Amino acid sequence: MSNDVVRVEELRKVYDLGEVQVEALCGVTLSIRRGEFVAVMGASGSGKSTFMNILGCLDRPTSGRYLLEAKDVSTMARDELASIRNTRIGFVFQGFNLLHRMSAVQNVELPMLYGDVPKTERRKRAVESLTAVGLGERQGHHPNQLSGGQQQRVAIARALVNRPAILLADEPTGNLDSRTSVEILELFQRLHRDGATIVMVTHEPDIAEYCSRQIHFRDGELVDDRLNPHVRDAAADLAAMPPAHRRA
Amino acid sequence: MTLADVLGTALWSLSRSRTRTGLTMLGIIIGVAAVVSVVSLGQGAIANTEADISAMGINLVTVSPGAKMSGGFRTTGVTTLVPDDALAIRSECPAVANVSEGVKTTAQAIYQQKNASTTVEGGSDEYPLVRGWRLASGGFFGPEQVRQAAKVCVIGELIREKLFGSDEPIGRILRVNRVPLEVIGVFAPKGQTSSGQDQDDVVVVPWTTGLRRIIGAKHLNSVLLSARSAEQVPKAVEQVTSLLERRHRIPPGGENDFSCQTQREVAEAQEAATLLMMTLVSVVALIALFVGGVGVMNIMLVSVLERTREIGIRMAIGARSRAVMWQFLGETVVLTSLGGLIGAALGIGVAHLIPVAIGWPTRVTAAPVVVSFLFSAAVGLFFGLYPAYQASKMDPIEALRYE
Ligand SMILES: Nc1ncnc2c1ncn2[C@@H]1O[C@H](COP(=O)(O)OP(=O)(O)OP(=O)(O)O)[C@@H](O)[C@H]1O
Ligand SMILES: [Mg+2]
Repeated sequence: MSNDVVRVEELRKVYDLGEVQVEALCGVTLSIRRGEFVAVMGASGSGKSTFMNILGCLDRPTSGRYLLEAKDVSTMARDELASIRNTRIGFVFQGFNLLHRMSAVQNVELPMLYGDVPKTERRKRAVESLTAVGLGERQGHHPNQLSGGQQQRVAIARALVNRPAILLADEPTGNLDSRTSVEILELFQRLHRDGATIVMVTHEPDIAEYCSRQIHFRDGELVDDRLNPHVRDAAADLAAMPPAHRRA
Repeated sequence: MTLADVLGTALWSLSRSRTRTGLTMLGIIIGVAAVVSVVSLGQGAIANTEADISAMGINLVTVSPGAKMSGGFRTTGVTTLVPDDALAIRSECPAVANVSEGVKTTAQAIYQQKNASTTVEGGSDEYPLVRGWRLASGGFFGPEQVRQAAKVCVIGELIREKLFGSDEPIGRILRVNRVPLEVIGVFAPKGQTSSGQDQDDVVVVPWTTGLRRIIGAKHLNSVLLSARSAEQVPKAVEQVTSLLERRHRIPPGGENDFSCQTQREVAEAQEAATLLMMTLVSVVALIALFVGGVGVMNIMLVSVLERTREIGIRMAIGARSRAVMWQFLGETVVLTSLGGLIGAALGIGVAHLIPVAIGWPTRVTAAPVVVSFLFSAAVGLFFGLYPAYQASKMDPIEALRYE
């Protein structure tokens, strides 16, 4: 129990569209332990994003309980949730969601701005975080001067800069080509080896192969949950790939 | 988030779209510039009036025929003030130092081929003392010349220039209404009064000459007198009033057929008019500023909508409602304050240009600059509140989904 970063019980989410009610999640119960690397899979519309948004405290369940690090967040007020998102959760989106008029390092500094980190320390930690994702050289670049893979790395650096308890990624490789996708997975695996807890949505079984645990949703229900006995090594796969032109 | 963060974010955000920022600020800039320059103009006019009365002598009292009307206007063509009144004041009012019978008309002054339309004033030999005017050359007429209605005159600088140019005027004869007058003196230049009258555009003759030879009348247009000191002014007014009430047989409680106006009252009436004008224009400018504020709010509402996604991203990484609120409020306040600063600078610039361009005096004081700057900041606070609130109450997930 104490090792559970996430514990959800009977999680339900109903979208009320007036005429019809869409049940996006219908009673999901699940635990995620510290240090796991989970792939969330399922067909389109099966409720993956809904699930991730609730885990990320961006959205609230209609009913059910959600314990994050043993704290019940399903009853928390708006501002408390903002504070949880700021310090305990790192969220990575399919579309990167960087602020375009800011440089990479300014984007990474942003969570610290809302976390009352002193200004001098912000820059230092942002640079460290960018260096950790391999973008130390590009800190002054703006998102439109970076490739998709590089933008996603900036987003990951931003998600990690406040040292969250869990990294949530909703189709982080959805907008990237296959080589760049593996590069991102290589980064995730590295973070995972260093102890990070990661939950990642993906459509592609190939990508899920890099994760230590795979869960499947179908029509809002958790239908499969198993450990992956043969985790693929992204670093090795990258080495085997034709070098092409390195972009990341 | 510290105040420095709020301001930094606001400036960053405003500098992204400079054209829009500039256009949005325009209403504020113009409003503040208008307030600052109008108030500077008013202050300049008031300072000028003050300078006038200290130049003319604060002791000056003008007795005019006819009752005092509201608003300071006097009836003209009233014949209740006669030379004997002036004589009586001279002998019976101890607080009065000097007296000059006042006669006034406009006429053509002709010298050789040149002529000029001017003000002809009649006075006693004490006229320069009462007025506090100095002579640049020549002399003034004495009591004997007044008694004889001598055909002499003392001219203002403007008339000297117009009629004589570089010629020596003393001893020359000019004509006013066909009356030949020998020029015996020239006044030192005095310039305009704050009401725009040129004090150098004048020909002064003995009042007797004015009445008998030039106008052909028996009543005075005014009696000018000076009190013995500034402190004696009220006493002089009191003595003159009771004397003339007796002489004119005004029943107790009846309306006087004359009025006394001190220089201070003239100045105050003029200052009050200036102040009223200044206040009215300032109110209009402040309303314009307020309307500018509505424009700012409109743009900020559009901006909030446009930046929904940015708001969503900020919330997703942990911005609380209040931080988002501060961000937009800060942006609006910085915007209008900046507009206020630019407007104040512009207003000060205009206030410095006006005297050079059209010759009206201005005086820049801190009060209108500070007040209109604070007002524009307050406008930002007031009109920024609603857009900022709209931004702060957005739902993070919906804001993120917004295209
Ligand atoms: N804001 C919303 N309003 C109404 N219905 C919604 C909303 N968001 C999601 N849904 C519905 O909830 C269900 C689950 O959607 P969700 O986005 O979680 O699916 P998903 O598994 O992420 O799909 P995809 O792989 O296409 O991203 C879908 O039927 C969807 O139509
Ligand atoms: Mg989805």
